[in-house]
Amino acid sequence: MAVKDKELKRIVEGCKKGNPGDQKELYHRFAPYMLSICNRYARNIMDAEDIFQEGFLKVYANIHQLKRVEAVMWWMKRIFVNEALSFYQKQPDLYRLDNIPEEKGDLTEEETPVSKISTEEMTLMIQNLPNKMRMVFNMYVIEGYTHQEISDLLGISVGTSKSNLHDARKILQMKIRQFEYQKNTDNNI
Amino acid sequence: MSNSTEDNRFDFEIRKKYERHALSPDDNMWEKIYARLAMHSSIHVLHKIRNLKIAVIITTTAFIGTLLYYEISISGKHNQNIVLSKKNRIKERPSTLHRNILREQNKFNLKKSYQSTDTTHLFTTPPGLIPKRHEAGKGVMQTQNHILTNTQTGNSSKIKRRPKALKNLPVSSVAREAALSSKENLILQGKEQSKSTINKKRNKIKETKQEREKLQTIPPRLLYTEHHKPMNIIFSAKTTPLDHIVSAKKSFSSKLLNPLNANYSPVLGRRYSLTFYICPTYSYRSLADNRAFSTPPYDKSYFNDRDQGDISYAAGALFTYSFRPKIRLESGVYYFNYTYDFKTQATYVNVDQGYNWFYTSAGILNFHAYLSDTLLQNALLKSKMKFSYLSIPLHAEYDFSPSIFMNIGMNISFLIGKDLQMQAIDYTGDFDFQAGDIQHLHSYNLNIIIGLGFRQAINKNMSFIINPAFRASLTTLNDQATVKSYPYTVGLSAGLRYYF
Repeated sequence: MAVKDKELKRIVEGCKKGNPGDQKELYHRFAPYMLSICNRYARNIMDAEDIFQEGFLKVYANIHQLKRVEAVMWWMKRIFVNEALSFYQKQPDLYRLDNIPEEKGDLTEEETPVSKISTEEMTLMIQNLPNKMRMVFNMYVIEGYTHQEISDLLGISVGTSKSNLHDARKILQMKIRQFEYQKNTDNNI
Repeated sequence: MSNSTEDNRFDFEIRKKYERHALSPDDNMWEKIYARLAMHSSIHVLHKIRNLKIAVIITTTAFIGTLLYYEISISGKHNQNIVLSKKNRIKERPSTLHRNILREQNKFNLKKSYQSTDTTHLFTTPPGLIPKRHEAGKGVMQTQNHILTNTQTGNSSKIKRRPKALKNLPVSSVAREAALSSKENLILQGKEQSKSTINKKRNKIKETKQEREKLQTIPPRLLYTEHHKPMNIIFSAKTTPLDHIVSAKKSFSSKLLNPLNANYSPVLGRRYSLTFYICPTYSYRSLADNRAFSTPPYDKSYFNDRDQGDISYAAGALFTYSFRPKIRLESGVYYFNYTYDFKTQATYVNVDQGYNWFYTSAGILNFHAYLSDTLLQNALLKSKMKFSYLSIPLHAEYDFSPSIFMNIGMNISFLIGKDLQMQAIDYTGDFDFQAGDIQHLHSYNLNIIIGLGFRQAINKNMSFIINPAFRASLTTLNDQATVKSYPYTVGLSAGLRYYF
């Protein structure tokens, strides 16, 4: 672990000096995780790649601000999340809440079969959420932001944030049920 | 309650699913990022080039200074050459000395007298008596030929045809006697001169002698020489005393009395002057960490990466008093400002919460933006800080030459204004908004200034001055900032100095 930390420190120091070799190494080390984050926040993989590129440019431009090398992963995650948020904020036509699906299946209090769904299918469901709902869901559930932080970052009230999270959960749970139902039907046929 | 538990379980499962999730980017993704990174770097280099303004100003200043210096020194040499070439007009014929005159030569110890530093010796030189070119250092005298010829022919009017340079100079009694007796001897040796003519000549010479003895009592004085050092003339074997006298007189007159001469300096002898100037400057600051207030990461390196110098200016009037020939003191009042930019990446500024702030090297800058809440998020914030001062200087000037001087001094500057502007550059475009205030700024500042000046006379009362100078602050802008910021400027002031 200590060796890894040393190597990471060397890479970060190299990036601070603008060394292309170290920049490439940092990219290869963290790119898969960061692309995963971008993919969750984006509506599709193309948007995700755009966010991903911008995010890495920001990482290289601001890496000299990084003081604690061991926190590089957390620091980069924040940059990519911020980048994803700003990506959709600059597209006001997409920044609406009026495209919530009407269909609402019976949501029972049974156990949600999340584990039965692959991560790719789950990601697809999250991507299909409305923008603000998706942001709130990702930030609260996966990144662990509080509602207060979300309200500060997205410029919405705490109540709106809670409401969006609740709606996002409902939609996702419904979609998971639908997906399960569809899967069972296909198997029976 | 059960609903909340359900939600928590759902969240936990989702979080667990994404805990170690990773996606492989396209193979060419790194190339795309690297290409954009290179483009950003080149833009960054261009920004760095803007920081080279200071280098450009210094280079330009040095270039102008060098040009002026060479212009002055070359033109000075040119004038000197003219003076030296004029001496050739006084032609010396081959030496054919009269024996009677040779007897008088031993009375003069030229080496001793001509090496004196007193300028009055210039005027005690016997007219018509000069050392041989190859014997000048040995004190051997020789009569100038044209005088001999004149006395031999007996044409008294031609005796007056001495070099013009010596015409009005007083003559010592010894020298006069020598010339007189030599001329008498020449006449007595059977030349075609009548006694009456000789008497007339003697009378004339005596009258002249009396007049010049009167003049001798008046101390030699030249215009603008009150601060000038006594002239030190040492004869070489190649030049005659006459050459030196003529060239010295001409160079005196050309250097001091001719306003068109590059070395003409109206400063000499003028005690008071008034200078008006304007000075474009490049202003920036140097930083040191303030241990009392430093809150990482807002330290020296943080601001050095974000700040950028800018062009500002100074203007004012200075009164100068010359209390020594080459040293002057000046004081007055002038205005100057420090300007520099600060850029930072805003991180989700919440503008709904009233006043917001961010760190600058001058102190914490408050601002309030009446904008939509999302616009400033992740925008690039740029602030322009301009601090204006009214300054009272006390400078000393020292003359290296009539044209080149050095100035050094201190000034106390009072903060009279601060102009803070902010600009946010977001994906949606640029927009300006009014910044608030930087608190706890020092109301006064102590500065030192050092510069090199070039002076060129325009007429006898006025000269044009160019003065590249460096001004540095000894006190910080703000004691409570996270870094100690010491502003400085490099400028090229141009002005007019009026002597009275």
